Amino acid sequence: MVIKVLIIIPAYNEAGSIKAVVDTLIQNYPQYDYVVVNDGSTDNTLQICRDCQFNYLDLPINLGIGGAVQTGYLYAKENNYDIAVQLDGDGQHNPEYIERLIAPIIKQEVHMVIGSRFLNKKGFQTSFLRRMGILFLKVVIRLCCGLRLSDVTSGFRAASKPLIVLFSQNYALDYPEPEAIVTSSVNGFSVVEVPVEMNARTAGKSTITAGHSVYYMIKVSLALLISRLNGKAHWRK
Amino acid sequence: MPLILQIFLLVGVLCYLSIILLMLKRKRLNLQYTLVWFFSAAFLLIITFFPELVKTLSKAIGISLPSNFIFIAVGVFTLLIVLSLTSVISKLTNQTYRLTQNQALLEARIRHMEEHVDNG
Repeated sequence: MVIKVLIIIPAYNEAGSIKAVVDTLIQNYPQYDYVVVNDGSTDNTLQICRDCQFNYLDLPINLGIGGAVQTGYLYAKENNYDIAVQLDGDGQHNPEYIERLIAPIIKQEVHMVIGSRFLNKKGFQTSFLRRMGILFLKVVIRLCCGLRLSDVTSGFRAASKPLIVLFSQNYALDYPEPEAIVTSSVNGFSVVEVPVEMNARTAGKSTITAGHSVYYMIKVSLALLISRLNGKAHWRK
Repeated sequence: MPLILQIFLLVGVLCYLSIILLMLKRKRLNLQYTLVWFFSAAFLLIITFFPELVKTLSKAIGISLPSNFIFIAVGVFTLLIVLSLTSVISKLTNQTYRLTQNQALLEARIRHMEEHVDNG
């Protein structure tokens, strides 16, 4: 049986990097399907997708990373994919690790695999303040669901088929990465990490700016606690 | 409470109620969102007819000035209305997300079908 893998590439104003990212995938990893989710970009990300005849979904208004990634999960569910991999459109994530991400799911050991840049401490390690933020969220997640993870905000991750269905119905709107871990965990899906290396972004800027970081920490912590309290989501399998 | 104030209040509440009903009739308001407005109107109506109730209630919960009870009631109703508005906005946001996502999926399907037709 052939395992169908979809790579979801959320892209908001990534005109500077999206072509390189997708071209690499097409040339070097033809065994995976991909879909670019243009999240209402105001630059010419959409034009590039059109001109290069990429496979893309075009959100007419900006939904934010959560809504964009969820559109990818909806697409994966609609087209019956077995595994969905999230890969940022800014070139931060190196596609050579996709194989490592999906291997545990193919072996049917786990449902969610997160690419962690901190396990081997190689590659781009992000700024000190951001690492402090991640450390804090790590502790919150450990208290919430007893998972010991190192890179809870990593957007480089893979999800199994049942999780694709769950995420297509139930995904946080903004700053969804840590919350998706708790959602998976409380719904009985196992989460593990594998080491990856990340690059500093080649173009564009992070969705989390310094001014927002306090708001981010409070909001995410609250969201984690609430999704923990919510327990199992009501979703149609 | 003097009769003149009672009449004034009654006219005020009736105006308020008729505005709500008029907006409902013209479909400027959805019935499901107007319950909290009707609640506040009903509360005002009760106070107009039984002003003594305010004194009794104030005493019961330890407010010495009955007018302060009214101020608190106004605050509570405002909070309730704002909360209900936020809940409506949240629901609308979720619906907008769904619609946007579905529109993107449909657009891609149509695009692929058209390409298929053009090529075949």
